[in-house]
Amino acid sequence: MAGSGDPKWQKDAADQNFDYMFKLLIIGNSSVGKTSFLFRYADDSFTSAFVSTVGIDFKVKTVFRHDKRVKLQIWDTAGQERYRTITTAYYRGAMGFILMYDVTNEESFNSVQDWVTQIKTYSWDNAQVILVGNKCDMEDQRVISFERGRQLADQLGVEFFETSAKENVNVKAVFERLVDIICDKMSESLDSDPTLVGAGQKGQRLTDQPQGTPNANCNC
Amino acid sequence: MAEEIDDSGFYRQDFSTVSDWEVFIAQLGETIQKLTLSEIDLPSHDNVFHSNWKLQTETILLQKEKIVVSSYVSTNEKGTGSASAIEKVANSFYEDLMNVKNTFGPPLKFQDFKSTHIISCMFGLSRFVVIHPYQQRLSNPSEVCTFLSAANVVAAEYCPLLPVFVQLYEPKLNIFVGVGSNTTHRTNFDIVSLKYSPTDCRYLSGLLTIFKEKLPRNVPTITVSVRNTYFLQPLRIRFPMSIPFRQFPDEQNDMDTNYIKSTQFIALPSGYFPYANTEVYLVYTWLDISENFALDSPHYTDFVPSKTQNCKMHQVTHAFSYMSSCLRDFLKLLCMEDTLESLAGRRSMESSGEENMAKALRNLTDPQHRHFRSSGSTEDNKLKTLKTISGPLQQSELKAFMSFLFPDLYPADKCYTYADDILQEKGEIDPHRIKSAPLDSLCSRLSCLLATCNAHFGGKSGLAQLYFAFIRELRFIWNFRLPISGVSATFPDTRTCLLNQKLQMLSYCIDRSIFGKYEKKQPLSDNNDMNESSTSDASFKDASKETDDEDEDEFYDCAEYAPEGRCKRLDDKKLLGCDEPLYVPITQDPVPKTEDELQEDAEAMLKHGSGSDLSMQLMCSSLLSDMEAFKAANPNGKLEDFIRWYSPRDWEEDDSGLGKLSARMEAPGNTWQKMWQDAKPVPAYKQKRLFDETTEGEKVMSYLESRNINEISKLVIITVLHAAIIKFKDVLETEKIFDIFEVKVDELLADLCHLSRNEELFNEEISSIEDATAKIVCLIEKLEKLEAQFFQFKCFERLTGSAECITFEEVKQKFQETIENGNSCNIANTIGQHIIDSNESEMQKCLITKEYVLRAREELSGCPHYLRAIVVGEEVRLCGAFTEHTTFI
Repeated sequence: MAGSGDPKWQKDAADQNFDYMFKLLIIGNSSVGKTSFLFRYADDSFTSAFVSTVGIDFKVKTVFRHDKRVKLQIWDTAGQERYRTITTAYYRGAMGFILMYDVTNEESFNSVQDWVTQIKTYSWDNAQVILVGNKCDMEDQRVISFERGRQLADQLGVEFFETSAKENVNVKAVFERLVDIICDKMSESLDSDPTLVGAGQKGQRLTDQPQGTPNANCNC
Repeated sequence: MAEEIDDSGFYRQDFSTVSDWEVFIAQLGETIQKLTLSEIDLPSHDNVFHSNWKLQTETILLQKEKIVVSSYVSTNEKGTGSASAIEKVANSFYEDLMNVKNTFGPPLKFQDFKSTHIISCMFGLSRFVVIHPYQQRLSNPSEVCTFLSAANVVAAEYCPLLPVFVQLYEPKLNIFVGVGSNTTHRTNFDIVSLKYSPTDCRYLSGLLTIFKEKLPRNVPTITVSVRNTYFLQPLRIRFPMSIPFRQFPDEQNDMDTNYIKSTQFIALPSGYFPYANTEVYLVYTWLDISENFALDSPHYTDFVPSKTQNCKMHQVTHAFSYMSSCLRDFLKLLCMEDTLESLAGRRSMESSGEENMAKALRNLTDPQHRHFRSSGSTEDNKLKTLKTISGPLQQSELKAFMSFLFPDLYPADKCYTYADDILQEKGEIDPHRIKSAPLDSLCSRLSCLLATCNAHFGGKSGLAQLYFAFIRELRFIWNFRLPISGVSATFPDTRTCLLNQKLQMLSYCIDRSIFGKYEKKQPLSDNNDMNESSTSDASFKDASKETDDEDEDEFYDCAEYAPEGRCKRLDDKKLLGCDEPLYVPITQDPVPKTEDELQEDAEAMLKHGSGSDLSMQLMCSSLLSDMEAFKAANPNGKLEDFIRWYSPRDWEEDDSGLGKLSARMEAPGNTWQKMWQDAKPVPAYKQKRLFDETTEGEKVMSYLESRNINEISKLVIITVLHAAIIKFKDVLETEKIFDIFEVKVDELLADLCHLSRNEELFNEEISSIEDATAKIVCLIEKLEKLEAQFFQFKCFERLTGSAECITFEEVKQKFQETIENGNSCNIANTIGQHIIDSNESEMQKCLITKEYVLRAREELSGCPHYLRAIVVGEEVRLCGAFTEHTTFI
C-alpha cells in the first residue's frame, strides 16, 4: 500500500519502535552534495571530503511527526552515470525523492529533467519529489539563481528549497516537508479510496493529529 | 434492598377491572408515542420514493403474545428542522395522499423499490406505524377486530394524524387495514385484493363508479392519474461460449447467434451464458388529469401510448460473461496450496531429472542442435515428452497451447508468432502503469492460458498440467540455450510483474550464453560440466570456483604488460604524464536483478548496516572490476585518469589547464584509493564474473519449478486481469462504442494499477488472503457490470438501431442517457416512436400492469379521499382511503 513502507523491512529492522516507515531517496548528479546533505541531517556533521558514494548507501533516522514516530530509511545514491542501473533499481518502493542539484554547477541543474524522467520511469506513481539546490552558501560561485530553481520546480510541479549542508541551511526543513507531503498524500489516498484502508492504524489520518508542537519534537 | 422492593411494586395488587385489551391499548399508545417522540428528523413530503427511510421497532406483549410495532418515517438527507416544518406535520398524511409526486414509484421490478415500504407505495405516505403479531398471522375476524379497534383508539387518542396500520394474513400478501384520525375526522385505509375481478373494476369507468359511491356529496372534482406498463418480449442475443483452442460443433445457426468481435487474440474465453437477456419495460404515465378528460372502458380507452408524451423505457439486463466467470474461478486458486506434483503426478516431475539432463548436455555439445528448429525430428521427441505429463488435457490441446506459447519450437503451425516490439530492447511502458506483463508477451499468453485451463480445461489439474508442460519446454530451451521468443532479453524490468522479470532474467542469461562477450568457449551449461572446462582452460575463471582466485594473483604482479580489453578512446584525452591516449575499457555489464533479489540485497544491507563488509562487497565489486579493466586497457594509467573517465566531476581543472582530484577523492585512505591499490590489471573477459548466467538461469528455473498452485496464481493474477480488461476494451473498440465506456474502463485500469503496485496485497504477514481476494473481487464485479452493459448495448442497438431514421450516434447517445439514469430513458422522440411502431401489433398484449389513482378533496374540511387500483391481468388490488366526520355521521 501507498503508506507504510515495506513490511519485511520493518520486521528485520533493529528498531521496532515506530508507527510508520518511509523510504526516501536522494538523487542528483555526482558531487552535488547528496552524502553531505544526508550526514548533516542524520548525524549533524559536515566535512568537505565525504567519500564519493560507491553504488548506494543508507542512513536510518526516526523522527516525530504529528505524535507519530516515523522511521526514515534514507538511501543515498552515487551520482555517476555508471551507477544508474544499480541506483534506479532502488527507486521501486521509494515514497519520496530529494532531487538535488548544485547551485554552482550549471550541468547538474540541466540534468534535473533527466532525473525527473528517471523517477517517472522507475518509481511508484505516488512518490513525492522535492527539488533542492544545494551549496547555497557558495554565493560567489553561484550560477543558478534562486529564481531559476523555483521556476523549474513550478514547471515540474514539485516543491523547492535552496539548502546548504555546510552551513546547515534548510536541511531539516527539506526532510520535514517531504515527510509531511508524504503523510498528506497517504491520508488523501486513504480518504478517496476506502478499499485502501487496511487494518488498524493505517486507516488513521496522519494529519488529523493536533498540530501542537511537532517541530519541537522533531529531530530528536 | 428495601427500596428495590418498593420500586418494583412487588407487593402491590391490582384491584382495578382493567381488561387485557385496555392494557394493550395503553401499552400500544405509549409505545407509539415513545417511537414518534424520538423522531428528530421530520418527514419529507417531497417524494417518498427517493428519500431515506428511518425504521424504529418495539415489541410489546398482549396475553404473552409478542406484538411488533414499527414506525416508518421518510427523511430528507439534509433534514428540515425549522418551525414551519412542524406546522406542516399537522396534516401530513392529508398532504401525502394528495401529493401528485407520490403517485407512482419506480416500476415494480426495480431494485431501489425495496427500500420503500409497500404502504408508502400504495398511499404515498411519508410517516406511519405498522402493528403485527410477532409470529402468528392475523386472520381470525375477532382478532382482527381487537387490533383494529385498538388502532382506532390509539390513532385518535395518542397520535393524531399518524396513520396506524394493522397487517393481516401472510406478510407476502401485503394486506393492511389502517386508520388515521384528527379531532373531527377519521380516515380509513383499506386494501382489497381480487384474484378474479369484475371487468368493471379494471377500467377507469368502473373505478370511478366505485369511488363516487364512497364519496360524500358535494365533492368538487376527481383527479385521475394513470400509469400503463408494457413489458416487451425480452431481448435475447446469443453470444455463445467461445474458448481459445477449442472447436465447438456449430450451434444451430440461429438468427440470434452472434460472436464477439475483436481484433486482438487474447487467450481468454468470451461469450455470455445462455440465459442472458434484457427485459424492456415501457411506462406511459398520465398525471393528475380531470375525470372527464379521458375515457377508459372495456370497449374504448384513451390511455394508449400514442396519446402521451410522458413515456419512459426501463431496461433490466441479466448477462454474465464467460470471461468474468473465468476470472472468478481463477481467483479461488489463491488459497489452494496444492503442489504441482500432487496434481500433475510425481512421475512427470521425476522425468525432468538426471536422465534428461545428461541428454541435454550431450545435445548441448553438438553444434548441430543449434539449428534444430529447422529440423522436424525434434518435434516428435517433444511430443513424446508432452505425453508423459498426466492430466485432463488432451495431447492435441496441450500441443496447441505449447505452439501458442512457443511458436518457434513448433514451426508447423506458426500462426502465433510474437510481435517484434515485445522483443525490443526498450518496450513501451504500459500507459496505465500496471505492473503486469506486456500484452501478448510470453508471460501474458501463459497467464491467460492458465486461467482458461482452470475454467474450461479440467480445473486446477488442467492448469497444473499446462504449467508443467510450460516448465518442461522452458527447461528444454534453457538446456539448449535457445532464444526465448515473446520475452525481451533485457535486464528484468521491475515495472513489470515478477513472473515477467524472471522470464526476462532467463532470457538474458540465455542471450549472454549465446553472445557472451568474454567467453571464447562455448557456453557452459551446468555445474556438472565445470570440472572439464576449467581444467582445459586455466585462465578462465568462473564465479562458482572462487577458491582458485588467490593462487593466480602472482601472475599479474609483473609491472609490464600489454594493454588488453580496450573499447574505445575517451574523446582526445591522454593519460596524465605521458603521451598515450586514454582508453575506455571493455567492462563487465552491470548485474541484472529481479525485484525479489533486489529486496533481499536491500534487506541484507539494512540488517548489516551501512558500511558493513557485506554492503561494501555488494557495492564495490563492480567498481573493482571496472578499475581492473581500466588498468588492463591503460597500463600506464593512474587513479586520476580513471577518475577523469569514471567521475569527471571529481577532476578539477583550473584555468591554466592543470587539474587535480577533488578533495573527497584526495582524502587519504578513501574507498576509491584503497580500491585502486587493490585493483590488478585484468581485462573484463578474464575477470571473475560479476554475473554468472549459468547459476542465475538455473535459479530462475528452480524458482519456476518449485511453485505450487497458489503461488502460480499470485504470479499471474494481475496479468490475467489486465488482459481481460484489455480484451474487453478491444471488443468495445471493434464495436466503435468505446467512447461510452471510456471513463469506466479507465477507472478499472487505474484500480488495477493500484492493485498491481500494492506490495502488501499478497504478503501474508500483512494482509490475509481474504482481503486480497475481496479487493480483486471488487474489480471483477466492476468488469462484470461493464460486460453486462455491453450486452445491454447490443440489445439496445437491436431495439432501436434498425430504423433508417436513427443514426448509430443517436443510438449511442440514447444508450449513454440510459445507463446514466439507472437504466431508464425518456423515449418521447424518434427512437421511442420507432420502438412503438416496430412493436405496434403486440403492444396491447404487452400491457402487463395498469395503475389508476383517483383523488378527491372536500373543499371546506380539506378531507382527502383516495383510491388506487392496480390491475394485473384479471387481478385487481384496490387501496382505498376515505375520510369521514366523526361527529356527524
